[in-house]
Amino acid sequence: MNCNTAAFGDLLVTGVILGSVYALIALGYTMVYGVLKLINFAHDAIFMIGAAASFYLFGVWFDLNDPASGLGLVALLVLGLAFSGLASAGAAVALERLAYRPLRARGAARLSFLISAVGASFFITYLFQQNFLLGTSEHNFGGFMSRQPLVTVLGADLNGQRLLLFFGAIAMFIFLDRFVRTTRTGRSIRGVSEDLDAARMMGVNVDRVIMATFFIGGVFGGMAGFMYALVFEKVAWNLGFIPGLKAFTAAVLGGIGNIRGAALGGLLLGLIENLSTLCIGAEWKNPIAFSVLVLVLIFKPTGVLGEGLAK
Amino acid sequence: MSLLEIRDLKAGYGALPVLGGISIDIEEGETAVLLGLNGAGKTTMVLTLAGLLKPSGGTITLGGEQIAGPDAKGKMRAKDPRDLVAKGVVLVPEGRRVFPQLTVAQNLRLGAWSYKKDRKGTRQVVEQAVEYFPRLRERWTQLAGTLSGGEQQMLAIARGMMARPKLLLIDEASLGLSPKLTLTVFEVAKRINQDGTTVFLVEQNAGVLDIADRVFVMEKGTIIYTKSRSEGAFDVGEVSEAYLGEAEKV
Ligand SMILES: Nc1ncnc2c1ncn2[C@@H]1O[C@H](COP(=O)(O)OP(=O)(O)OP(=O)(O)O)[C@@H](O)[C@H]1O
Ligand SMILES: [Mg+2]
Repeated sequence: MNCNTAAFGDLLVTGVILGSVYALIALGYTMVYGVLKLINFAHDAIFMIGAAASFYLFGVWFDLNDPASGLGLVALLVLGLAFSGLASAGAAVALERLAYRPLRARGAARLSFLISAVGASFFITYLFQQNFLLGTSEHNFGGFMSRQPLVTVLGADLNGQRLLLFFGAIAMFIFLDRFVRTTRTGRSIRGVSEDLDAARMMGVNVDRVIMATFFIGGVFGGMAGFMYALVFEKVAWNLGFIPGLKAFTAAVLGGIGNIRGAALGGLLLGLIENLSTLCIGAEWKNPIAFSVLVLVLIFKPTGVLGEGLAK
Repeated sequence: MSLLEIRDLKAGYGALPVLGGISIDIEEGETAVLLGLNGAGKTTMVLTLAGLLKPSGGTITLGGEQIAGPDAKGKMRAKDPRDLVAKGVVLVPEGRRVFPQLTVAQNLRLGAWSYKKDRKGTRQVVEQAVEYFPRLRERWTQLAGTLSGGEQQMLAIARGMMARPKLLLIDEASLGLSPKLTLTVFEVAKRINQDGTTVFLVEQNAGVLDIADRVFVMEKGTIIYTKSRSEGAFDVGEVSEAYLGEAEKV
């Protein structure tokens, strides 16, 4: 085999960066699965909405094209994270209200939820493909942030965008992990994910808990969408599709329903698909990533860390 | 006025009817017991009382307030479990249903969910629950899933008490417990009752008659036998015959 070891550093870094994106999106799949035992297949669209929202904010309304620096840049990034996070969280909560809650109220079968999820995903994605929204073309994004490398790690250059994504993801996961372990809302989320009916018997407001999980997953997905668009400098209606599927794979790989599993699964998948291209062509990236999904489902369906939000 | 008045209650699953018109009263401050064979509909009954299953007919009245029944247009309405917990109806479900990945302490705190602001009150209820079941204190930080079956049952009852019930429904607490532990659980149920909570026990173990003030026997979704202690001591033979009668015929 002909391995291109010179690219190792680059691929490792890219793997970690992409893995962070997968992890952030996977969190949304995992939390909703935890409480509802439902794969929210519309979550890729929620991620895309985060990117689209930041495109509207910075590219259309503010129309920023010159690199900002210092506090100005920090302010813009905070604003972008907040705006994209809230836009996606709002969309996720609306999705739950419109696509899932009516089914739940009727005690519908699992398949109905799945069909509703897939339908919602297509609906949102193709809505954004319309000309009055993003249209079919790609938009350049993120001119307000310099792309100059800031540091070099293992021979790979890291610019601010990539650093933001990596450290942002770490901070978000640490925060969430503390949140579900120490707060009342966090405890109720774990309770509902362990036994929804028992939680109802305790008087827990299950609808609110479910809404909270969609909200949190939406915030993570939306912020990931913004940071992803910054790193790849583009926004398009279909940008959620592949990362969404990869993130779903990552969630299963780490153990669906498991928050730490989402983080681990994301990183592992990012590393596996990128490092595998050391020795085989880059065109194999996607087949390899999805083979991981199939292999996990066959040999360790509960994933590396096992299922369950409460863990 | 009785604490709980159930009139012509009908409930089931989808098209399958289980309860075929139940009418019973439970008085405030008593320990009522519902006996019946497997599949009689006992769990269906307490699930309906706790708001987890919507009845298809009849009414349930708690302290004079209708908590399930037809509205003005004749459509069946039932309060959801959250409202009922707030009104003091709490179910300790069949099969314990503790949260296995949460610790004993966390399980109890989830039980006190509806008293978010009242930390002092919650601390008192925790103290009391631990007094009923001292074993829980020793297991405080252990994951509930790793408790023994008996300990899980203690935790389930204690967790139910966290919601400060007026009416505590306990579904087959004795299931899978040793005779000695069953006795302990019955004794604690009696103490909970004496401390001011109305207790409704679903059981298959006739030993529960020792602590009962009133007994109902259910067969195929209807009440076939009722007796109150005020009418004289329970005759275990008579009650057992009522609820085992059908089995002996088979
Ligand atoms: N979720 C359900 N869907 C359909 N049928 C059900 C469901 N739960 C219970 N049943 C049926 O309702 C009937 C009454 O069940 P229920 O659980 O109320 O009995 P039970 O008296 O509690 O019995 P046990 O002592 O075995 O717990 C049974 O025939 C059972 O098969
Ligand atoms: Mg039962």
